[in-house]
Amino acid sequence: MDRDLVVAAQRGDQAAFVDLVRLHGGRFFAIAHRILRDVDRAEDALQEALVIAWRDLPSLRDPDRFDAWVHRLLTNVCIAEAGRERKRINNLYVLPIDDPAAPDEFLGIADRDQLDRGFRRLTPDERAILVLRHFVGYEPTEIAELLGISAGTIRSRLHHAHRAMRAALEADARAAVVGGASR
Amino acid sequence: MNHPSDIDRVMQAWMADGPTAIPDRVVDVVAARIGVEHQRRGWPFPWRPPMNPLFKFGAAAAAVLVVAVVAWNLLPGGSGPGGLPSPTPQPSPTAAPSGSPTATGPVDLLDGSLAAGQYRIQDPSGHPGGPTIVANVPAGWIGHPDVPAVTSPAENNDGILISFMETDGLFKDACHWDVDGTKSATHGDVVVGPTVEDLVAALKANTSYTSSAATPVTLGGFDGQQIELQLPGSDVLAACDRRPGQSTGDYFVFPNGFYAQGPNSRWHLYILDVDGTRLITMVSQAEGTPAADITAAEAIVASFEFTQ
Repeated sequence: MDRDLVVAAQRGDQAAFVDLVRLHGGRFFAIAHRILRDVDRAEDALQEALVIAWRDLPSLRDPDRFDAWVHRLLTNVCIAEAGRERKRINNLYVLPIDDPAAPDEFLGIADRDQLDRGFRRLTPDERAILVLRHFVGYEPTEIAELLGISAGTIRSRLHHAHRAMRAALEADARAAVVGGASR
Repeated sequence: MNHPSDIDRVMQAWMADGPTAIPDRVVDVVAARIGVEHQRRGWPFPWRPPMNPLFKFGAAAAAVLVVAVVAWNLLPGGSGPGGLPSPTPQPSPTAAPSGSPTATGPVDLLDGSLAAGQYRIQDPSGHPGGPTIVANVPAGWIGHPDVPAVTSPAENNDGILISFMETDGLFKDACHWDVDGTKSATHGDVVVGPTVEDLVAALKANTSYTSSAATPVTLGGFDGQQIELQLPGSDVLAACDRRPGQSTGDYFVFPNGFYAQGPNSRWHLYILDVDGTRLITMVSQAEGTPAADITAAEAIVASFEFTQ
């Protein structure tokens, strides 16, 4: 079904492409949002990536790889957008949650706040790699293939990003201990 | 929180939060934008780097000089060598908008579907001051003046691509071309001498692909050699070096130039010495290219005329 839509869109069928956007757009938007942590910027990045996808779709050699192909385009657009974002003042946004996760005792509000701050300090590449690994579920070798970077580099950046996120959480824990002792 | 599985679990839990539905306004905007955005032809075209600005300046200066000399010669009583004859009326076809061309004489190659006619292919060598090609193109073929290239009207990648380049090198291993680690494929690792024969010999000596015997050819009054290369299938291409952002491997025969347009591509190369420019014309066909397209491509190449 998807393949038929992709092939039709490759031949210029705009309705087929819009159907693909409706079918896969939620996932694409979720990826963009996780990388950029901002609804407006995620919308802009996704629009841009989808227009590029439409324009270049005839060059997609294997219609079955549509999903991964758009992931690559979208990730590249988000990395570029995140690079611009880093130069701006942090723009915290209250996010509408369409499908909130089940209550998770594992992460408190403070943890999430610290993770968000730690994540914003990462490079755009590292953010994208974390999202592709932990949200999309790609293996490092698949991320390497997607981004055109060696698997070793992906593992190295993943390691650094994990360390930075751990440090963000541990800093929060230390702050809580120090705060408790001072009282 | 030091065990790898801890951070994995933290990240997964954290990322589970957030929107998972595409806003309708995004769909609406995309639907509107693709309504006015043309799709690119499904060819992974050969490419070359942007023109050196110094070349552009030189070309512009040369053009100004030519205009000045012609104007001087046309002046009444001008002291040019006998003056120039009165301009002969020439067919002045108007470049039609892309998609509905009405070319009847030599016009600059248009972008998009072409009417049958003669088209000027500017700067095929990539160097200003080089030859210009005039070719007869049948109706329905597609022009790509920026490459420059002409492709057959096939709906998929089984069509034919005719494109051009000049080179002074090759890759020894066309599959593993990233010899300088830049993933840019700009520098070959085989230096080729300046003649047509030098390039033919280098292509034949390369074991990365299969080459036919070379035979003499004359196009538009200029002599050269023609040779066919059979490029590998998808099993080989999958393991080739990749340019950044590419999901499949690329197979570069020439630095800064042609690479395989798909698995099992077959290239017919016409290598001519056009007044000192070693111009390569590539006709790339796929396994499923219709015979009619091959015949039409041969006719296009046979119609080449060269001007400076």
